[in-house]
Amino acid sequence: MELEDLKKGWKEMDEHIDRLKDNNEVTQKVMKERVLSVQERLARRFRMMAALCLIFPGVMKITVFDLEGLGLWTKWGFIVFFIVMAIHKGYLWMRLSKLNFMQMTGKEALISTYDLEKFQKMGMLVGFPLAFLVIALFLLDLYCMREMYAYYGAWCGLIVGLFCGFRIRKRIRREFQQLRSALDEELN
Amino acid sequence: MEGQKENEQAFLALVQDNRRLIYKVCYLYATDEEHLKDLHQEVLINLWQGFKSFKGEAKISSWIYRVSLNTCISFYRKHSKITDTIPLENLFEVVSDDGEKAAHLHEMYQLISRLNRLEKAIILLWLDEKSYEEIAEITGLTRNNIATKLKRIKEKLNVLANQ
Repeated sequence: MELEDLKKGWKEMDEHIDRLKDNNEVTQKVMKERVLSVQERLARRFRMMAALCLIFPGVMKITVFDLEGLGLWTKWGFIVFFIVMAIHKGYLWMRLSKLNFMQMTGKEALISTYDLEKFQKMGMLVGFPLAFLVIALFLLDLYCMREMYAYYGAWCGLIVGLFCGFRIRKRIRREFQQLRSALDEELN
Repeated sequence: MEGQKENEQAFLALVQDNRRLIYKVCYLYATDEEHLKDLHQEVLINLWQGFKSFKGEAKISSWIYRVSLNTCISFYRKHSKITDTIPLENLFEVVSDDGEKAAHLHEMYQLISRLNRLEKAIILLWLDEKSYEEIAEITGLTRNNIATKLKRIKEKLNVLANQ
């Protein structure tokens, strides 16, 4: 197809668009019902996750942390894990809320999208080993507490979690590399 | 209350006047009918949110291009279940009664859909006969960069067309 054909085809699209039935239903709905954009919904979800991650250590302090035998390292491990996750989700929430499509250029929108995706994946890359460490410490405490059923159950969970975690981590690392080269390719 | 009504009427008129532009942008970035509807709604949401604060700092069509392209470039789509949705290239056959024209559009869509996000934005603006300066302003690239990229896109499209 020659480029002039492309331009001709492009103009022909106008006829087809004019034939599409559009009685402004969607536009009316957007104006009247205060429909949230995908970006706003995602931002709210991250805000909620950040809030939950901040509340959780408090809940754990009241419920689980008073268990006799639970080590100090384990307790701090849980707290650090949830604080790191809260910071991660909170940052994603702030970045998403600040995206302003009215002011940005296409290049800025593209870079922001890639940056957000990369940061999301980075969070998972950091979160998995941290979670693994905390669970390992918890396992040690369970063993010391002679809670053998819980101990064996936790081992099963750890093995399954490790297997899934490695596979997911491997995929994320690959996607991370792909994101970087995709952005280079788009901008250069 | 009156002001709000006037605003809504003005926005409705704006969307109607620029209907072709908005649909074309969404078509270019959508992969199927469901995706097209999602993108279209998302673009309208962002246009409506920006409309209230738009003070005519730029040409209205440039503003609509900017918002629509940025929305489509950034659109996050969860992996949806496979449904009986119409692939976009077949949508033209559904609405057209001219087989040759539909085939034409099908081929055009096939070619352009293989470009990356920024390339799609550039070729779309070029096809709508925007100047290099306007394309540079909307995309955020330099004029020289646009010229180079357009040359590469045209070469890429030629290669794809001959495959």
